[in-house]
Amino acid sequence: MAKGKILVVDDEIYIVHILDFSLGMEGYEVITALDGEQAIEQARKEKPDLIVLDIMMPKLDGYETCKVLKAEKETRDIPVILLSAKGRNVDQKVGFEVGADDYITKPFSPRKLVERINSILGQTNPQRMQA
Amino acid sequence: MRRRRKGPSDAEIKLRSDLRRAHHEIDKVRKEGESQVGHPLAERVQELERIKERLSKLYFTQLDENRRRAARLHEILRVLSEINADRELETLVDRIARTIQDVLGFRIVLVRLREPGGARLQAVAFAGLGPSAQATLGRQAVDVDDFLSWLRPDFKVSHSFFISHRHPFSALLPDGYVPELGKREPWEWHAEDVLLVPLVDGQGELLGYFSVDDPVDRMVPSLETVELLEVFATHAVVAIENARLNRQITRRTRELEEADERMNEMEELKTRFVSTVSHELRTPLTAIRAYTDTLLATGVDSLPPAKLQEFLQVVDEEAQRLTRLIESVLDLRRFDAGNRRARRVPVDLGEVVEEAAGVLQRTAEARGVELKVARELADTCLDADRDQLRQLVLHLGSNAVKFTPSGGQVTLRTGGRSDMVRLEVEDTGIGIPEHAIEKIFDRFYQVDSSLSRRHPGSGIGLAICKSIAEWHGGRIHARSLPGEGSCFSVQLPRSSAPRVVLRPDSGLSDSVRNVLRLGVEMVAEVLDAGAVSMMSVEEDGSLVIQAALGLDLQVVREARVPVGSGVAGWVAVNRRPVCTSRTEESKVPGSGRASYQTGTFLSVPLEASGELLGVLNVTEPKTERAFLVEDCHLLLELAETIAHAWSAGLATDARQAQVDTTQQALRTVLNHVRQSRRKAPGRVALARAVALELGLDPNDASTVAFAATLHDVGMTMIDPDLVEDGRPLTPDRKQQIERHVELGDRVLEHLATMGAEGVELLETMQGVREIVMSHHEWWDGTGYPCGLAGTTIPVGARVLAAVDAFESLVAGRPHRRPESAETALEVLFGLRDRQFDPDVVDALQRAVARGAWTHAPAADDIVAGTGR
Repeated sequence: MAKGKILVVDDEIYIVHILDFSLGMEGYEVITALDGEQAIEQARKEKPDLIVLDIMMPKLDGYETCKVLKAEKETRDIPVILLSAKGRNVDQKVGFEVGADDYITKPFSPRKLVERINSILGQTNPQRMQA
Repeated sequence: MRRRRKGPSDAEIKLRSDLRRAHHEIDKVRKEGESQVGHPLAERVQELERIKERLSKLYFTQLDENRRRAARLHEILRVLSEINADRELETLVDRIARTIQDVLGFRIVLVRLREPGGARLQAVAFAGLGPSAQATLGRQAVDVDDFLSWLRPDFKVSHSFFISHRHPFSALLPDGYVPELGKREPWEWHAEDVLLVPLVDGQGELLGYFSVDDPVDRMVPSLETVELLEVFATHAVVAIENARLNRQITRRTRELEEADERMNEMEELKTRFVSTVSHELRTPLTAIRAYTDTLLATGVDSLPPAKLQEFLQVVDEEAQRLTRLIESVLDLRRFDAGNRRARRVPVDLGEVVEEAAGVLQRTAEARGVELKVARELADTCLDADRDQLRQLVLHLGSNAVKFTPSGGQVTLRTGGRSDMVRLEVEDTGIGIPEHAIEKIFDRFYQVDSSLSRRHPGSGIGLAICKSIAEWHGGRIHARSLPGEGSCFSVQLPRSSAPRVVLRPDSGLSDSVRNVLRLGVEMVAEVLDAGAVSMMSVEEDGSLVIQAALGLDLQVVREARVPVGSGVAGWVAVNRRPVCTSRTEESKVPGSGRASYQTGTFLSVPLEASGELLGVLNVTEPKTERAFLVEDCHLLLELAETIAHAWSAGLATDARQAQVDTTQQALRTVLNHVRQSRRKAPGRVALARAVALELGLDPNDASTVAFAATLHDVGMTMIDPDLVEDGRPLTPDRKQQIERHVELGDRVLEHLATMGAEGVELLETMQGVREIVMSHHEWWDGTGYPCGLAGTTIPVGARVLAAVDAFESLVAGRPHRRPESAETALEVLFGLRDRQFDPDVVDALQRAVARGAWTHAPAADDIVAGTGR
C-alpha cells in the first residue's frame, strides 16, 4: 500500500523519470505532469498528498502554478515543494511568498528530497500515511 | 562722496584760481568799506559773474560726461556678466562683436580666434560687415606669426595697436576689408586706419584679436576707449576659454556617457550570460546527479540490468550535453578573442556548401527531412576564411534540419551578384515567432527554453554565425513564418575594398582628411581606376600626396613634385586639366613608378573660389582602354565637388556641420556608385552616347553621364533587398520605391548646398537633380513622382529612363533572364510614346548600332560575376 500520493511536475522528462523511480522505491504512488496547467488539473482531480513543483516551465511557471494551487480551496492544503535551478536567496523568498512549503535547488539529491517529503508528510498527515 | 577723477584740466585750474582770486577781491573790497563803491567794482562783479557761469557750465559738462561714462561702464558690466554666462562659443563671439559695436561705438568689428593648437587665426564673428565681406575675410586666415609682426612698438596704445593710415607700414598690411568712410579731416579716423586689440590668455599665449573700424564719433581712439576695449578683451578671453573648455567637457561627457552606456550593456549581457550559462549548466548536472545518486542509494546489485543500463545511458547523454555546452562557450570566447589567425583566401562558397550538405545528409535522412542544394550562380568565389565559412554553413544547415519535422525540406542555396555572394538556408520547419526574430542572433537567446531540451543547443550558434558574417564584412538576417518555415540569408562581399592611404603628419584636420579619402574612393569607383592620388600644395608651391589608392605608404610619404615640374606640376601652375594616353608622359612625377598598364593618365586641378588646393591624378583604368575626354569631363565635375568640400573643411568649426553633411552625402553617393558601377558600367557610356546622338552638347552629355552614375542614389537609403529579391511589389513597397526618387533629390541637395560660391557647380547639380528627380516619369504622363509628360520631362531624365530600361533588360534581374540587345530594343520600341520619348528610343538604337553598348561586359558575364 502506498505511503501517499505525490504529484511530480517538471517539463524535463529525465527529472520526472528519476523521481518516479526514487519515490516509487520509497513506497509512494507517483503521478506526473509536464507543465503548470496539467499540474493544476491533476491536483484538482487526484488530490495528491504532496506536490513537487519545478519552477522553470513553459506557459505557466512554478510560481504562478503555486499561487493558483494555494488560492483554491480544494488544493490549498496540499504541501508544495519547489524544485529549481534558481538558487538565489531572492528566488527562494519569492517561492515562500507564493505559499510554497519548501524549496530545493537543483542539482539535488533525490535521497534528500525523499527525506524531506517523508518528514513533511510525517508531520502533516499521519492518518493519511496509515490509510 | 568725493571721487578722485582724472584730475582737473588746466582750464579748470585757471578758473578756480580766478574764482579764488575774485573771492579774495570781493572780501578785500568789503573790508575796505562801501566807500569804494563805484565803476571798477561793478565791472569786477560782472567779471566774476561771468567766471562763475563758465565754471558751472564746465562743471555740468563734466558731470554729464561722467554720467555718460558711468552709463557706458554699467552697460559693459552688464554685457560682460551675460557673456560670462554664455557657454556656447558661437553665440559668445557674436555677442562680443555686437557689444563692441553697440556699446563701444565701433561700427565694424572683426573677431579672429586662433585654431586650438593651430598657427592661424580664423574669423569667427563679424559686426557691420556684409556677406561678401564676411566671405572674403572668412576665407583668408591670418598666420599668427604674421599678426605678431604687425604689432610694432610704434603703434602701441596701452596694450593695443593702432596702425595709422599715414604710417608707411600700413601699406604692407594684407588687403583685408576697407570700409567706405567718405572724406575725413586729417585728425579724424580714416578708412585705412586699423586698431587691433590682441586677446591674450593667462599664459601669455595669443588667443586671437579684435579688429575695429569706423568709430561713431569719427575720432582716432582715445586712451580711455582703448582701455575700455581692453577690459572687454580680458573678459572675452576668459569667456572664450570657458566656452571652449565647456565644449570639450560636453564632448568628453558625452563620450563618457556613451562608454558608460556601452559598459552597462556589456554588464547586462555578461550578467545574462552568466545567469543563462549557469542555468544551462545546472540542467544536465541535475540529471547526472539525480541518477547517480539514485543508483548509489538503490545499490547497483538491486537494480534490474535494463534499468541500470537506462540510468547510465541518461548519465552519459547528459554528460555529453554538458560537454557540448562548455565547448560552445569556449568557441565563442575564442571567436571574441580575435580572429587574428583567420586568413582570407579565395574560397568557392558553392563548394563549401556541397561539403556541408554531405555531412548533413545523414542526419537529415535519419529525421526524414529532404536536403537540397541549389546553385544559382556559376561563380560563387569570395575572399574568406574557409573554416569559418564551413562552420557557418554547417550551423545554419543543422539548425534547419533540427527544427524541421519529418517530411519537410531544407534547401541550401547559393547565389549572388558581381560584388557579393549570398547563402540562403531555407526550411519548412516550425519557424520562429515574430517577437523573437530580431533577437535570435543575440548570444544565448533561445526562443523557448523547453525547445532546447528536445533540440540540444546552447543559443550561441547563431551569435557565432553573425560574428562570422560580420567579420567578413557581410551580414545575416532571417525571415520566418511560424508553422511554415524559415529562411536564413547571409550576404558576404566578394572581396574587401582596397584601402585608401592617407599622408601621415599632414597637419590637415580630420574632417578634411575624411573628405580627401572619400574623394579618392569616389573617383576610383566612378572612373574605374586602379591608382588615384590627391595632392596638396605646400607653402613653397610644391605638391605632396595627401591621399591615394593603389600607391603604397612609402610613395605617399616621400613623393614631392617641385613647382611646375612634371604633369601634376604643370597642372598646378596652369590650372588646366591634362588627359594623356601616351606612355612617355605617364610617369607620376616623384612616385618612382615608371609605367602603367595602358599609359593613360588624367590630372586635374582642385580649385575652390579661385584658390588652388591641389591636384587630382588618375591612372590605371581597370577597363584596359585609355581615358577619353569624356572621362576627363567627369573627373572635372568630381574635382569641383571635392574641392568645395575640401575648402569647406578648411574653414572654421562653424562649418563642421556642413562638412559632415557633405561627407554623409559623399558617402551615400559613393556607396551607391559602388553598387551601381558593379551593376552596369556600360550604362554611363551608353547614356553619354545617346545624349550625344540626340544632339546635346558635350557638357550636357557629361551631366547626363554623371547623373547615370548617381541616378539611383535614393535606392541606397532603402534596403537593397527590397527591390532585388524578385518578389512581386506590394503596394507598400511600391510606395517606398516611389519615395526613393525624392530621397535621391535630398541627397543631391546636400551636394548642391556646400560650396555655395560655385554657381556653375550649383547649376550642374541642379541639372543632375532634375534628372534624378524625373527619371521615373513616363512620356505619356503616368509616371512618378509628379506625372510629368512629354518634353516637360527634362531630356536627361528621358535618356536615363530609356538607358536604364535597356540595361536592365540586357543584364537581366533576379527574376528575369537577360535578353539580347535586339530583343531589348524591340521592347523599348513597343513602349515608345507610352513610357519613352520616341526620339530618345531612336537615338538609343543608333547609339547601340554604333557600338556604344559594346564597352559593357556581355550580359552573361554580369550574371556570372566574372565581368564587372
